Amino acid sequence: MLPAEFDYAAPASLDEALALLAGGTNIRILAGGQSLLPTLKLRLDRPDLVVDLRKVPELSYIREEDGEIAIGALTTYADLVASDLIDSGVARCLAEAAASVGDLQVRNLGTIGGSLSHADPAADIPAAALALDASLVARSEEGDRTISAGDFFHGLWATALKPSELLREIRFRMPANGGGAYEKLRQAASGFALVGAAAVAEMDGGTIEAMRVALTGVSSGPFRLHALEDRLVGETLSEELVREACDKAGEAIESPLSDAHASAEYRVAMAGVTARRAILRAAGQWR
Amino acid sequence: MYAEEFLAAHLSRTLGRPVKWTADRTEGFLATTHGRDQLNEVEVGVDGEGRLLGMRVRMLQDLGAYHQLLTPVVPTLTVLMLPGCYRLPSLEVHLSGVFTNKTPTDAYRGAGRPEATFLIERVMDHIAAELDLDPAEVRRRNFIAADEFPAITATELLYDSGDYHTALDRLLEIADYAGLRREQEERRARGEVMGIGVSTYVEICGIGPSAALPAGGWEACTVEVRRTGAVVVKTGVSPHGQGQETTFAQIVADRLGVPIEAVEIAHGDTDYVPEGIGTFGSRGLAVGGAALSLALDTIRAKAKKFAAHLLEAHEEDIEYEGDRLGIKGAPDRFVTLEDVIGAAYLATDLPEGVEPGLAATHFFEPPNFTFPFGAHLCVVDIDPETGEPTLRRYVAVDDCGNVINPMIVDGQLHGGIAQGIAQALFEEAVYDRNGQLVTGTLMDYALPKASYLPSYELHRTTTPTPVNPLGAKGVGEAGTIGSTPCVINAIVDALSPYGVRHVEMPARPEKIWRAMRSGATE
Repeated sequence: MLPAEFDYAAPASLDEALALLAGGTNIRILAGGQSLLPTLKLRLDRPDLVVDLRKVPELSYIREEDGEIAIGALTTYADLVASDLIDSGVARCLAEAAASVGDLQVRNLGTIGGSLSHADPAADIPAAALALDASLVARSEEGDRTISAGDFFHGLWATALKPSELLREIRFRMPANGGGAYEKLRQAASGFALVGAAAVAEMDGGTIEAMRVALTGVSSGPFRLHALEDRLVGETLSEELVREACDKAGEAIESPLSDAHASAEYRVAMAGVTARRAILRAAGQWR
Repeated sequence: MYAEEFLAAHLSRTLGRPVKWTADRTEGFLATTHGRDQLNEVEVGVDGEGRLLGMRVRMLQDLGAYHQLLTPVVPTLTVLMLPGCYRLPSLEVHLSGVFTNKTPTDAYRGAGRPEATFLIERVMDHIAAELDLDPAEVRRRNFIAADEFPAITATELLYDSGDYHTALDRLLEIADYAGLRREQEERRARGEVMGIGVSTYVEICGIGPSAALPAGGWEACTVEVRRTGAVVVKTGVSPHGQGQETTFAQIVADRLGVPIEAVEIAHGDTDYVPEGIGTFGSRGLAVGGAALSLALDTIRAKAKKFAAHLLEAHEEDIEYEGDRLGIKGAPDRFVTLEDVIGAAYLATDLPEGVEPGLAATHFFEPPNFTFPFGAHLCVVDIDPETGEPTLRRYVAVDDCGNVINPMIVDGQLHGGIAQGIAQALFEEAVYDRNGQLVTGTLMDYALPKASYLPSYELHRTTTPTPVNPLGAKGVGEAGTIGSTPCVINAIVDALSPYGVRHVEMPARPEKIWRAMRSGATE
């Protein structure tokens, strides 16, 4: 099908883009278009205006600043995959999540900011953002507002972003003793996660100092497994410990998703398997 | 054909302008045709050694909502091919086709043969499991032997030629079947889940005798050797990707001794090629190529007449090798094809009773179908926790008779095997309870991606057919036919320690995971 009619604007600066957002309603932002365009073509969405950000300069970067990584919202999955910085430490969960998105063409066009703002319940990047405890910097004409990843996702395709805001930057800490991993069972047609698990571990020798685990694809949105994390922190890393802790990880899923691609029962069972594998690889880097 | 294609042509005539019809994927899924959709219940009788005594099949074909071009032909072809490569003394089939409110079914690569092969190849593995025999050995015991051809089957088809034992033996040797079984034992001891699948198939190609088709099963070909030395071939088997432009040009270059660049293959325009049936049912080479071969025979014979006349020799003493037509035993006495063309078109000194020019039109009526065959093996590893299958190896020995272009044959097999693997593992048209197709886009309907597939190890045996002068059988659908049961057999083999005897297609990870947990049986 073809999209319903919409107006199109391609602002040349961030301020110009923000002015457009401030001045209207029913606006969608095109950051890479890999989710937006299919949505428009299926007429699941009929915006009045599409604001194409791709001519806005300086929204695509990966920088290290004061022990933090800062990533511009228009950084593509392919850029993340190609970055040595992202392929290290805790950030590796983001590199692996980005590498698992769609296919090469999608990864060349789709962006980290687009994925987070679109908040598809089976997208990979949101799980990594949660595990990294990332800070998401939103910008409106009023200025910057920083939202923690834990407060950002509000269920199916819904986020904390206001209509006047757009996501400008993603930041997270890079502890020296950290490791990250992303594990995923793919839906064979779309490549989206039937179940995805991102894990970030901070280790002190064999002891788990910090652990954050997030799931995607299994319910209406990505979420952290806080009880599982609490069970692991302070303990000595072992396969038995992680296996035991993850066996019931799926029980934390509220209203597990069931569709033509996988049943709720399978998703719940696989949540534990993917979480365990991600945790062991994230923490195991420090063994 | 779809109504839109006629409408576009009609509108084009009415408007006097080109009209283009485009459909998106969702329209394709909803409003064209689907394939397969058979339910089969099978009873089989065997003796103590696993030899088939008889088979009874209750076949239910979901035809979809409308009768399309070949809708009921597809399950009929399944029935005809049910005996597979085997001596089957008796067969009883109850076939019911039912119209439903789903998208119509029609011919889809293999058109009934993949269904037949899947059934009989699953039966072979069941016999092996029931009697604790090796699946390859069960096949060997039931094969029609090489010296029994031509062989009449339980469905009264006449298999033209075959050597099933040799194809299977080569496959097992190339794949190191014994070594794979040892490896499987070792891996199982380590808790790994590995399966080896074997399938052997025979299919029906070169379609076909005119009596078997409502609009004729012959094919036509015109070859014109022009006075410039160019050779124009007008063929009714219009290729849509099968590469007749290449294979037919190769045949002409070989038989007439002209450079391949001098050959032009004309097709697809009824202003220039008025007669033909078409490319389908793996018949392009076996039927269309046979018509070409007959036309080339006539041209070669006529060229020899000219050469004999020019050399003042007897026609039967002329040898035509490369582009030279010379006298047997007198290597320095020859003319070239160029000389013959000159004489044929100058026409001032024609041999007696010979017309000017060098062109011929022939129609070929195949006396029978052709029956290519082969043996496939694959190795699958299954993640015991998630049920995800990974195809680690795929080895095939296919026999499509004489091969004109090995690369094109391999290409057909590559695509066909991918398609058959996809049926086994990924592809499924899913409807909800209200009859709504929920797999209406490529985000929901899983096509095979290159990264999901192994590299294929392709090998051949060559058993020519006596049905046509090229000895070629056809290969357009073989890969699709052999691969689906091969993959499912491998998965069931992998899961056999869990008590699993069957897994329905597509064998998605969840289905495999469930089978491992419950030991699903038929």
